[in-house]
Amino acid sequence: MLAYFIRRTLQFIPTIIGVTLIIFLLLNVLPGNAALMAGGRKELTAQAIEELKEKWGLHHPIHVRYAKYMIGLTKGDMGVSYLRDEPVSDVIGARIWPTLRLSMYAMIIAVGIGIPLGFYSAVKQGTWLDSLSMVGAVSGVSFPQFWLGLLLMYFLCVKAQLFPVTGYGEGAFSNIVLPAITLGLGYMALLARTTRAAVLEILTEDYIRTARSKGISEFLIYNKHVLRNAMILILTTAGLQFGSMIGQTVVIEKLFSWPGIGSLVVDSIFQRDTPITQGCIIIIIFVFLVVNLLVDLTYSVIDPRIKYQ
Amino acid sequence: MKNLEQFTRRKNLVIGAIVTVVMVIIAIFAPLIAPYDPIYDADLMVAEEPPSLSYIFGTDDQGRDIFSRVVYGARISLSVGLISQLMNSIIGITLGLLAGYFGKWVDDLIMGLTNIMLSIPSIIFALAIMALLGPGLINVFIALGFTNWSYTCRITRSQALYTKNLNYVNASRALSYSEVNIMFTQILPNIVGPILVIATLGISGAILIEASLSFLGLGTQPPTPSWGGMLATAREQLFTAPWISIFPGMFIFLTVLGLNLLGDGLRDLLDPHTSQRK
Amino acid sequence: MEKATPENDSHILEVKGLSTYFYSIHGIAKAVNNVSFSLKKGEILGIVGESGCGKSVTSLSIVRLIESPPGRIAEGEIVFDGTDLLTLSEQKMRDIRGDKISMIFQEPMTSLNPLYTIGNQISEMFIRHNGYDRKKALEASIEMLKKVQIPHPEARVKEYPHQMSGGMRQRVMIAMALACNPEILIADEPSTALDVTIQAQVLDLMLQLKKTYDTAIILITHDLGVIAEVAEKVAVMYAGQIVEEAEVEDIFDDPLHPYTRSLLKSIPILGQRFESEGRVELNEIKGIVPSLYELPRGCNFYPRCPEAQPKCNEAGIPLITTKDNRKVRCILYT
Repeated sequence: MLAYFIRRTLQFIPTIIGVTLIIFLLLNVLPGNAALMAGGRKELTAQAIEELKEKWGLHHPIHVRYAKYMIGLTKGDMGVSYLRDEPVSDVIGARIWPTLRLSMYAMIIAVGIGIPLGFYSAVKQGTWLDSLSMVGAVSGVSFPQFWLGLLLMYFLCVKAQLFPVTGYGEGAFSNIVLPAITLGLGYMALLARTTRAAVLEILTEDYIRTARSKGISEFLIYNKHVLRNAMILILTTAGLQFGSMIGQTVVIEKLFSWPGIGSLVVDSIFQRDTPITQGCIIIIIFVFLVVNLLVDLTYSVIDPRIKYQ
Repeated sequence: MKNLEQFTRRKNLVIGAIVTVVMVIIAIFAPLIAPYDPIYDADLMVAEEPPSLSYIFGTDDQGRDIFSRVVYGARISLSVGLISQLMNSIIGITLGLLAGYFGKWVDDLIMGLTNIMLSIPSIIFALAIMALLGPGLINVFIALGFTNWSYTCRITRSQALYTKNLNYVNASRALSYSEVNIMFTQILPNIVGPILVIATLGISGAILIEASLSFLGLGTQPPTPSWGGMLATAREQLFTAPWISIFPGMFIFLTVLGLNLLGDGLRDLLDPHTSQRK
Repeated sequence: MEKATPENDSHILEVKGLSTYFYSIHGIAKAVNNVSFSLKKGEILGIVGESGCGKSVTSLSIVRLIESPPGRIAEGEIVFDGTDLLTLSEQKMRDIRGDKISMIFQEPMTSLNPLYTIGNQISEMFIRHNGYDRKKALEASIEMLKKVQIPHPEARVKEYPHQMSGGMRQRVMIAMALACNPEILIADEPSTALDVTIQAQVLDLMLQLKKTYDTAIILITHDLGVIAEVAEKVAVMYAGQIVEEAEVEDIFDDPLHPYTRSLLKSIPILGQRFESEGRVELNEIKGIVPSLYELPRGCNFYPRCPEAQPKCNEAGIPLITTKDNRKVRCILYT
């Protein structure tokens, strides 16, 4: 199994290199803009621009810049912010914790409610409860999450005054509730749908019929025989679906004025602060890929058939 | 009750189709349906009025009729969805054909590209392109046109490989026009179904992303009436004019829901084996 | 419900008037239509018939594993050990399944949970029905593997199903089924999915174990060769009904029902080609099985029967018992 772990981790490397290459090319293919637009400091003289270009290494050809950037990445150096003239890693570092916190809570909601909901809905298949959750799941996937956030904001913050409308609030719990719910609900709906489909699929398998013919209790049938097999099916898409939650983080953070990487990347686009944009996007994708890798490795631990490939 | 499954499946298709068609009609006939001009009929005297008989959905902070703006907003959302998905499908099919037919390094390159695309969440990739091009609706069209071609490419490539193996004898001869023709007539009809499903779901995804981008201010710029943009305004006016929040969001939801139901229904239509056993 | 009394004390299972229907938008399919038979202690009953004749549904009905919806056991009694199984609660039924009545199925490749070891799955039986702890159950599982002649059982218990061949998996199924020494083993096409050589091994194994445990076996198959090798009593099913029932020798030496006769005639005889001048056509039964949604008014076999008479189609034909204590459902014998 160790061989599989190593092999899978090695596959990860060319992907991350490819991703950084594409993103780097996309964002840096027009070098002229950056220096000029940096922080809206349009009043810079031509000479000042040239000085900045030299300072930030923008005068090198693109492949040299890419190589320097990649080497820098291995040391944790992501370049310098055009706007603030500070290391990108510092700027991002200051804002990473709020995003992590938000994601964590959202994940707890999504996994903690989504999977049991999907399970329960499959068990109660055919009843009105099931139809309700099916409708709920499709709606959940179609619901624009930032609209949900707005509605929650209005009803719970403005009207009921239960939570503060926006902001981090020094990390107070009441501040994270609404953003976490808003962010988590989308992924929760996806997971519920996937779980339900997986459980229904497993229930038609022959080995479930065998287990029933052995007189095994319904409890064990679901929690032993169905669960593990369903988890495998769920895991195959859970990693990819996680990507949608990551994407939504950007919008939700902006909606709730949450000082995380999501709102940072949006601001940096408006400010034309390319190094920040680049750094944020690369980190976001990196996290996504790591999560997928972990999901794959978990999958191989649960499913004994994988070890022997 | 297995019957519930069947009934639900058909219901999906029908309801999805109806909702989608209604939205398309609204978009096409917007000038006939909207009582006011969405941009120019701005009367500050009636700014931030709640829904009433003369303004069904109320007015926004500039005194414009929200109903009219929502109706015109359908045009933006649907056209972004349709056109960007069209671009994606064309890119996907083309790359898939190239990869499947020419094989070797072309295939490796395209597959590598596909893997990279699948590693990047769509909205993040769209953000990267917006960073390159700057904010604006046209740029959203372009950005979204490149975010959803991966699955189409894979399916086309599989079918191309399969067909190529069938025509193995011909593969050694030089590519002649009639062969290209054969590839098209043999490959494309077989994948129309799955590609249609991907396209339908892709349109709904594109609409969501465009709304998100406009909400962030990266998409449509004021005063263009887009659903996402209106929700951005709504956020500012949450305390004073909360009704602005309801209607644009509801329309996004209904349109996306309709398309998702339609896509689900199509998928079940094409693959009835998923829920049928014994 | 009061206990039903069996007709004959040595009968451990009596199926009386069993009817299992499936409901769908196409109508009601009478998969099992008023089926009755009985099983003595230690007897091997073979149920034979073509696909769709209702033999599998009958066996699943006995242990009440019919998926409901869309199926439903509409009528009948299934008397086991003095109690009608159809009146029992689901919990009591679960106590019986695996412990008193076991089943093995056709597809060994998919009938075992791929994520748990063989040892774990066999131990389940001992833990569930005998109350053993894990350690004792595992030891007992190893013993069972020895009994089904799987070499190196101590190593095999730690293996997963995908590491075993089809024949070996079927042995594991048999080990699981017989773990708690049930009174009845229902084997639904146990050898059909296996290679011919493995088939013989599996059937041999079943016969040996039956001798050791004195288990009654209901063997369901479409293969007359298997019936000839293994069965003591035979019931022939067609379109949801039993059309003939007799001792195995009688079925082969002197088949009564036209359907049974056609079945036996359709078995190709090796070497037959060379005996005559030209080639010999395979004997087939012309026509197709009737739809279970729309059964004929009279005899189900009437449209295809070579000895049909107009009277056959007037009303349903009852199952009658002949002088030699054989049962047949045909107007020729009334």
